Amino acid sequence: MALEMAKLNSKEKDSLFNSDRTQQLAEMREKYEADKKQDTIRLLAQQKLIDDLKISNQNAEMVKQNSVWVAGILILIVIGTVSWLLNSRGKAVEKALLQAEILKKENEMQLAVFEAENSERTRIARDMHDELGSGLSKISILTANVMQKAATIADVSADMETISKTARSLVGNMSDLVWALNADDSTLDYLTARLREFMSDFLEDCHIQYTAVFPDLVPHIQIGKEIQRNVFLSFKEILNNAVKHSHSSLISIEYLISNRQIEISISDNGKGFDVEHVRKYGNGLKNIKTRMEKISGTYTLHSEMEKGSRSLLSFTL
Amino acid sequence: MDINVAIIEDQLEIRESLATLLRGSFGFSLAATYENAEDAMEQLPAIDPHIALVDIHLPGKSGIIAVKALKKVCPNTLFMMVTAFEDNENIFNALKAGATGYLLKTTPPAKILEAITDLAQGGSPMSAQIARKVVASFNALKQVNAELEKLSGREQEILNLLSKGFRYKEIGDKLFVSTETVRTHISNIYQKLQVNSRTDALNKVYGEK
Repeated sequence: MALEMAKLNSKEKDSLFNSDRTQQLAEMREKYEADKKQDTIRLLAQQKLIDDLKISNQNAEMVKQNSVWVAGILILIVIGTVSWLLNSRGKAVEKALLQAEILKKENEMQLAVFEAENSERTRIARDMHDELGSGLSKISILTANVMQKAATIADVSADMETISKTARSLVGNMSDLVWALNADDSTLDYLTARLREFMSDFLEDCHIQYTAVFPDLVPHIQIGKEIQRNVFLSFKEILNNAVKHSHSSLISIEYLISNRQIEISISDNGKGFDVEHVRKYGNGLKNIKTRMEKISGTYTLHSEMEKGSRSLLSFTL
Repeated sequence: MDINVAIIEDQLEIRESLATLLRGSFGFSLAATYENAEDAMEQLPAIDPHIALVDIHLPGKSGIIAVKALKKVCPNTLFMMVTAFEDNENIFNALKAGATGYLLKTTPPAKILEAITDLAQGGSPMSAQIARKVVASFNALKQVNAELEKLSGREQEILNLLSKGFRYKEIGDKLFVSTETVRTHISNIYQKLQVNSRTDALNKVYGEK
């Protein structure tokens, strides 16, 4: 019994003890809850503070940015105004400078185009000459060979003669053309020498009598390649015509220089022709006219039936 | 006796047609043909032709170099330059190196034979522009060295007329001498030019004097 009592006692004690603990626990929990609330409140307060700070910071930033913008715009306006003022002030000068620059560029471009054209022309002439020239030389040489072998067959011989003559004249034309395009030495005295040289070689080859009057002293002055080429080719064409078509026995060439004016006259004592109706040689004559016009010169032709013709090339340096 | 001619030319067609022309023409014979300067420099001395036609532009050594070397070992051979167009600078240099004539590739066959015959008989061709270069060359050398070959009065006269575009026959008529005489003068001018070029070269090697 006593044991049971003791057991009960202890049970009671336990329960007593238990109720004590529960109370303690409740108190602790309460305290903890309060502490927690306090913490949350503090945290919230802190958060609010931070947020407030952030907002104020942002506000400050925005103000700052705004002022930068304003300052920038102001500066731009000032720069704009100043430059506009400067611009409108120096506009006349600047415009003149710009125009001069444009003009210079245009000149440079024209010069470049001119030089390119010139060198291209030279290149084509050389290529043409090298390619066609050697081929024509070959034809020319081979026909001469065949002609020697076939001298007894009249028909073949005549045909070969024609082929040979054609090849030869093409070769000759090409050489002169290349010279006229290439000639690095464009001075009046050299052009004159070249005309004279061509005249003598050509007329001697054709077995035609000629008289030539050239000035003793020709000034050593630079002339344009255009003048050089066009005068030489015109002169050549006129002599060619005189030999081919006029059936003349005497050709007279006269070359005069006075100041910067040059006149070259070529007369023959051939059969002459009606200048109004010269369809037959029309193209050649037109070419000479065009050539002389290109260098601001003139080409005039007088002819009388059975009396001969006189061509006059005239140009100014 | 036939004029014995060698050809130094790299273009097959030109070489062959010149060879055919020489083989087939009365009074001429073909001595040899070479494709380049190197072969010619090695083999030409043994052949010793009257005349050698030399292309200026060859694949290896130029025709000018070939003439300069061959002139020393082939004293009997006359060198005639062959060129595609009137390349005056190169022609003039070849003449100074020892060539006595030049020929354009476009020259008609009959004229080629004529030019070869002329050269063999002591004549030399000279155009107005080459004459100018010759005059300028003598004028430039005149002040430098008193020992150089000088041009005679007659030679100067002829050069002057040539540079104005007069041809041999006209010069002969004007100076009352034969075309033959004019040719001889021109040939002498070429020889003096070559002697001077050699002296000039020596001057360059041994200094101004």
